[in-house]
Amino acid sequence: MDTMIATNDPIIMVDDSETDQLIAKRCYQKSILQNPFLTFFDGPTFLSHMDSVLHKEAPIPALVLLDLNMPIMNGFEVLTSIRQHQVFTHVPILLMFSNSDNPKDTERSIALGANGFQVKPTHVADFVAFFNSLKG
Amino acid sequence: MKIGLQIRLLSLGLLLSTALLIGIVVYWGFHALIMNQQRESLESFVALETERLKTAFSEIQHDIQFIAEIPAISKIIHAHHAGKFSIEREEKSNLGLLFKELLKTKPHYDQIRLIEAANQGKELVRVERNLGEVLIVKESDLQQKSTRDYFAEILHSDPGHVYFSKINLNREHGTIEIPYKPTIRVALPIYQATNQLFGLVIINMNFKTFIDDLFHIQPGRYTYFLTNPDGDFLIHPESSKTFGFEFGKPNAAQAEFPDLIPLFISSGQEFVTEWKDLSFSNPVLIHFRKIGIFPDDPKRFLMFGVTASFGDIQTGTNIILLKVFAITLVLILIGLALTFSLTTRLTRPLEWLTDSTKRFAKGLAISSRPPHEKNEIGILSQAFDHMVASINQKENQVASMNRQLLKANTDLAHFVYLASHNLREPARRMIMLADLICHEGKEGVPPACQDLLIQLQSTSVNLLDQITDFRVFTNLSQGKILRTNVNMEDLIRSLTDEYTYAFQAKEAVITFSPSPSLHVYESLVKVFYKNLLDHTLKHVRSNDIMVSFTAERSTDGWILGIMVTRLSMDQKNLASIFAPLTQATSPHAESGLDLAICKRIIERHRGTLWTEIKENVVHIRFTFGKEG
Repeated sequence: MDTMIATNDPIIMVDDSETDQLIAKRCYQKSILQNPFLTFFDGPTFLSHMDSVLHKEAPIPALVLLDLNMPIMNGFEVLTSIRQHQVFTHVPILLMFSNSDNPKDTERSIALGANGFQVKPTHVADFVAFFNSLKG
Repeated sequence: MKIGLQIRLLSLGLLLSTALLIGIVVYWGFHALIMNQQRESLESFVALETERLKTAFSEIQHDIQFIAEIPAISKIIHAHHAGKFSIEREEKSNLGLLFKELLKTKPHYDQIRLIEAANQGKELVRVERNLGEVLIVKESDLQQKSTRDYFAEILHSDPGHVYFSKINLNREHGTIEIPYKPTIRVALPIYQATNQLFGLVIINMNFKTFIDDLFHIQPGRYTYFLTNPDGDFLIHPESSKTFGFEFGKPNAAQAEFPDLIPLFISSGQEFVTEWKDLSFSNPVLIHFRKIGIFPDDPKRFLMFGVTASFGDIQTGTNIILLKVFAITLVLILIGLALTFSLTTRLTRPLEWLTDSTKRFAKGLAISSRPPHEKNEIGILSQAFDHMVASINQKENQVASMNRQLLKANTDLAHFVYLASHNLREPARRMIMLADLICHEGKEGVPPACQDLLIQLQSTSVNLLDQITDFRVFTNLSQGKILRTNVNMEDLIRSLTDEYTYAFQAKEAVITFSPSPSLHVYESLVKVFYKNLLDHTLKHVRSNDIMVSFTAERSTDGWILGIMVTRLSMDQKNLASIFAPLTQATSPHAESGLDLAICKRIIERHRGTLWTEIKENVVHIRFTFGKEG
C-alpha cells in the first residue's frame, strides 16, 4: 500500500457502526500509530468537519478510512464530494469494505479517486497489522 | 420435390396422356371410318359398273336377236332358195340400209353382216364403219368367211344360242389390224322354215369404243381393269399391257395382282376388297369381280376390277387431322395454363404453410397468409396460422412471465446478497469482539468461560464462512435461472485452455473422455470446474501429475469427474485437501471456500458429489441431477 502517514495530523474513520468504531479504536490503540483518531457516524457530519478544515479551523487529516455502506450518503458519494475540493486532492482516503467479492466496488473506488481499499479484518491481529502498515 | 410441382407434373402428365389417348382413338376411329367408307364405296361402285356392263352385253344380245328377226332376212332366204335374185338383191339392199341405220345409232358397232352358211360362208350383206363413215359394202367386195374359227363355232352352236367370240384384236387378212382394234363378235345362227341352217348374222363390236362409251374412263380416282378368263388384260391403264396373249405374254393379271390367282381358278365370284400398297399418303383399294355375261356358258366370264385411289380424301383427312391436332394442341396449352394457374392457386396455401413452418422453426417472422381457400389445404393453412398466433401469444405470455420471474429472481438474489451482507457484519463483529476480549481481558475471564469464548469465536468464524459462501453463490446465480443444453466436452476443453500455463508449471498431462451434452446452468458449471481446478492446482504440491476429465454413462445418467493421478501424497493428506467437498462445514475455512461453492453448485443442480481417494489418486465425481 502506497498510502503512508507522514504527519501527526488526525486519522479519521467514517463508519455508521458504533461497534466497528469501537473495534477500530481498540485495535488502533494497540498499534504503533500516535496520530489522533477521530470518528464520524455518517457522511454529512464528516463533510461538515471537512468544511472546518477548509476554513482552517481544523487540520487536514493524515488519512481517511471511509466505510462504504452508510445511511444518508454512502462511501462513494462522500468520496466524490471530498475530491471536488482542490485542497483535498491529496488527502489519502481508503475505502473500507465488508467484503472483497465485488470487483466493481474496487474499480469504482479507484475511479472516484480513492487511494486504496481495505477489507475489514476479522481478527484483531490483522487489524493492528493493518494500522502498523500505515506508518511511514 | 415440392408438392405444387408434383401436382403440376401429375396434371400435365394426365392432361397429355388423356389428350394423346383421345387423339389416338379419334385418329384411328376416324381413319377406320374413312377406310371402311372407302371400301364400301368401292364395292358399291364396282357392283354398279358390273351391272352396267352386264346390261350393255344384254343389249348387244338383244340387238343380235332383233337383227335375226328382221323380215328382210326371211325374205332373202326365201328369194335365195326360190332363185328370185332380183327380190333377193332388193331385200339385201333393204337389209343393208337397216344395218346402216343401226350402225349409226351404235357407235361401238363396227360391222353387221349376214353370212351364208353355204357357198364357203359367203357374206350376203355387210355394213361397216370405215374412218367414221358407215358404208354398205359392195357385193363385189364381199368375202367368204368359212375359214374363220368363229364361222365353224357358230354354225355348230345350238339354235337360238347367241355366240360371243373371244375378245381379241381384229385381224385383216390374217394380220392384226393397226391401230389395234379390240373386237368382239356377237352372232346368231339363222335357220330356214325347214329348220335347216341358212347362215348367221354377226356384229363386230369395237370393244374399246364400247368400254369408253360405257365407262367414260378418265384419269382420276378409279382405274379400270378387265381380263378374260385366262387373266389377260383387256382393259388396263397402260395399253401396252392389254391383249398380251396376242403377243406371247399371257396371264398378265396374275402377275400384277397375285392375290387374284385363287379367284381365277376357284368358283368364287369376287375378290374381297383389299388395300394395296398400304400407306397413309396414297393407299389404293382394289376390288375384282367375275362377270358372267354368257348365260349359256357359266364357266366363261370376264374379270372386272377397279382400283381406287383415295389420296385426295386422305389428304383432306390429313388436313382435318392436322387442324384437330392444332386445336388439340391449343386446348392442351390452355389446359396447361389453367392447370398451372389452378395448381398454383391450390398449392399457394400449402407452399405458404411449408415456408411458414420452416420460418417458424427458425424463429423467423411469418409472412401474411394468402387468401383463404375453402378447401382442406386452405383450412390447414388457416389452422396453422391460428396455431402460430396461439403459440406466439403463449410464447409472449411465457416470455413475459419469464421476464417477471427473472426480475423477481434478480430482486430476490439482490435482496439475499444484501441480507447476507447484513448478516455477515454482525458475525464479523462478534469475531472481532471475542478476539478483543481474548486480547484485553483474558486474565479476568474464568478458565471455563475462556473455552466458551474460544468456541464462540470459532462458531462465529464458521457462521461468517457460511454467509460468505451463500453470498458468493447468490451473487453468481444472479439473472441465470435457466438451464441450457451445454456440450460438456467443449466447455471443459475451453476452460482448460485458460489453464495451459498452470498445467505446464505442474508438468501435468491432460486427458479427456468423450463427454455428452447436458442440461445445466452453464455459468455455474464453469465456476464449478474452475474452482475445482484452482483448488487442485493450489493445494496439490506434486509435479508430473495427470489430470483426466472423466465421463461415464450409468443407469441414473452421466457421471462426470476429474481424476488426478501420479500424486506423491498419501490418502490422509488428500482426504484433508478435498474434505470441503463432502463435509457439511469446512474445518479449513481459508482453503475450503472454493470447494464449498462447488458443493453448492452441485446442490443447485440437484446432483451428487463425492470423492474417491486412494494412495496418490483422487477422483472427484459428480452428477448434475436428472434434468442434467
